[in-house]
Amino acid sequence: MPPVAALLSFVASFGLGFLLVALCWPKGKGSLPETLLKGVTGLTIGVGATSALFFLWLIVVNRASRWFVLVELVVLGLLIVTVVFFNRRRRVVPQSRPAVTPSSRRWSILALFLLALSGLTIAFLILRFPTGGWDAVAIWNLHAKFLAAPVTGQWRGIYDEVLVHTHRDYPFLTSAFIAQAWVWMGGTRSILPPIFVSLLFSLVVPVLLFAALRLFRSMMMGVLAMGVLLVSPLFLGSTFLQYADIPVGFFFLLTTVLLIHAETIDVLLNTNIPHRGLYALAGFSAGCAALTKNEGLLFLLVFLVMWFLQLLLRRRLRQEFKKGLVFIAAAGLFLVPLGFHKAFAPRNELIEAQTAGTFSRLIEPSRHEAILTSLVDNISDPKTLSAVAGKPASRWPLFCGLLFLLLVGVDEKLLKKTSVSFVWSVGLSLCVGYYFAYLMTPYELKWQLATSMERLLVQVFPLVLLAIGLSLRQIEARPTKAPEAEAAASNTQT
Amino acid sequence: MGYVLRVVEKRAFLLADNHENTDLGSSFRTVTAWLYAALLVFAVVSTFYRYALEPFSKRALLKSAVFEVSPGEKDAFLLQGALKAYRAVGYATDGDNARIVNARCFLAPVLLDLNYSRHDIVMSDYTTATKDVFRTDPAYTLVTGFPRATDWARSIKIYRKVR
Repeated sequence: MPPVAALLSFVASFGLGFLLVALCWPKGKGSLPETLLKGVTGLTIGVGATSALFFLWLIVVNRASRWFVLVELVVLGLLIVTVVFFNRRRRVVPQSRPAVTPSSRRWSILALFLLALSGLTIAFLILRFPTGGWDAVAIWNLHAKFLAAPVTGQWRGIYDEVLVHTHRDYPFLTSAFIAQAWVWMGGTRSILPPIFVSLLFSLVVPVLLFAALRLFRSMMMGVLAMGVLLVSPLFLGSTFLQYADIPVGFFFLLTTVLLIHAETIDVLLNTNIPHRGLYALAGFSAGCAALTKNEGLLFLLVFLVMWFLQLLLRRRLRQEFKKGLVFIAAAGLFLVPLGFHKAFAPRNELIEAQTAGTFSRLIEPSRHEAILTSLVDNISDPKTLSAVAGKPASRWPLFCGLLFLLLVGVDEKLLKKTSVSFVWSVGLSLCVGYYFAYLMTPYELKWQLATSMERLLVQVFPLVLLAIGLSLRQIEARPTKAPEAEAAASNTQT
Repeated sequence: MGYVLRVVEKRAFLLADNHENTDLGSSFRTVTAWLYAALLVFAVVSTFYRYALEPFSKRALLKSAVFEVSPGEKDAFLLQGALKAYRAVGYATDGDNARIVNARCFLAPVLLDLNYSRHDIVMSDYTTATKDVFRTDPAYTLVTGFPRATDWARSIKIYRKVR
């Protein structure tokens, strides 16, 4: 029963994630968007934890086998015991973030409708292209085949010279997760695991964006941002490729959302209970980003630098030092298997190829022009969806979105808020990092831009939508109570 | 950036009569949000119709790919027809030319399979003899090198397991 085995492997992974969330999240009943946030965090951290565990298991045992199932179950059991033991001793905190606006049933129905119909569209697209794009076949799923190989030492084939074209240094989160599902299934023939990973991450990105904006701003803002993401040809064009760009973009968003949630929850509730578990989860998420793609390492670096700068400017370095340590330690747990992988693999081609000629590439005007032109082209007219699915994608939602931004306008006061400026700084710094990567690339720039610009945009797109959603003016017509007043009211009721 | 934001801010102010704490500005934004939400609903429905409801059978396997249809692709269809008799086909590649290999990849009915020994028949497009493992594997024999192909399948070789 391979499909049942695959299903059980997914359930075990999610169980791992939910237990980690139960261990780290402040104890207590949360609001609906907070529950959604907990849900997507559990699902995806579980995927990352399973991948890391599987890779470490391979290093120790040197071959994939069904003994891994037992290992995973033992880890699950240990986590259950830990959660039960610790949660008994933890204090219940009124962690529910007060709603900024009254919830609207109509907007909730609209959110469900948009997600359900777009989910069907994505599912149909994935079923039309069950083997994904070329990189899925030649890189991600090929690596998974090696990792799931039942012969001793064969998993190290991903580092073999013969596979020089398959980017041997690429991190392994999606590949290892697919491989462990194949191990549960007892064979590598099924395309169910890669399809499942593709569908899972394509759906959790809009859900997370909605939950975050519902939590930090309003229901309307959450629905609109999710809608923009779901109709974007940029996003839809990547959903069925089975590449790692959507997963890594998801972890960029999750890390940022969890940090903002952790930073603001104390202020809102005035409880003086440090929610270090949320910082640990944000660290896990950042580690997962690094474990998914090399861009995730850049994100981790950018995220830490921006956080440090923000604390330095607010003169809160000393007070927040422990939280930063928790974050780094949690991310480090995922960086251990990544460190082994990088030690086994050859050096990254981009770094390896840097010579004295790099500087001349940096100052060559034609390269700057080519990158900026490609950026505008890919934002205004992404090609993948129309080229692969055979029909041109609609561009009018993008232009209507720009008109909407113009009409609603940004709130300068919000832009000056620490959390909002932090999201913008992380997103923009990532884009600058990508820009320099293009400038320094040893490959033909035109080819590199044509094959990767759209995917890089997909990675930062949800983060940019979050930043925009946090910066726009308040939309709701009805005046609302101040969050503190609502919190006090809800506390009185409970 | 600050300048751009101020321009956007100013435009929004003019268009929206957007005084910060008045009901008028806030109502305008709410109506705008509803209108935009309606457009998004229409966009989601049309996207569903465009990409999900299209019957699978209408889609040609290779013609919808990003590149032009070359004369060699006709061979791809021939190859596909010839291989239908086999239940599973292994496929191996060295990926030296992304465009050509892309077409081959979509032709292969299974994922790239390193464990080729499970398959009765294997397509290989390794262009160099050193990488072509099937040449030296006594379990496999060369069926054809596709001599008729002009472009697309110029280096594809088909191997069959010796029984």
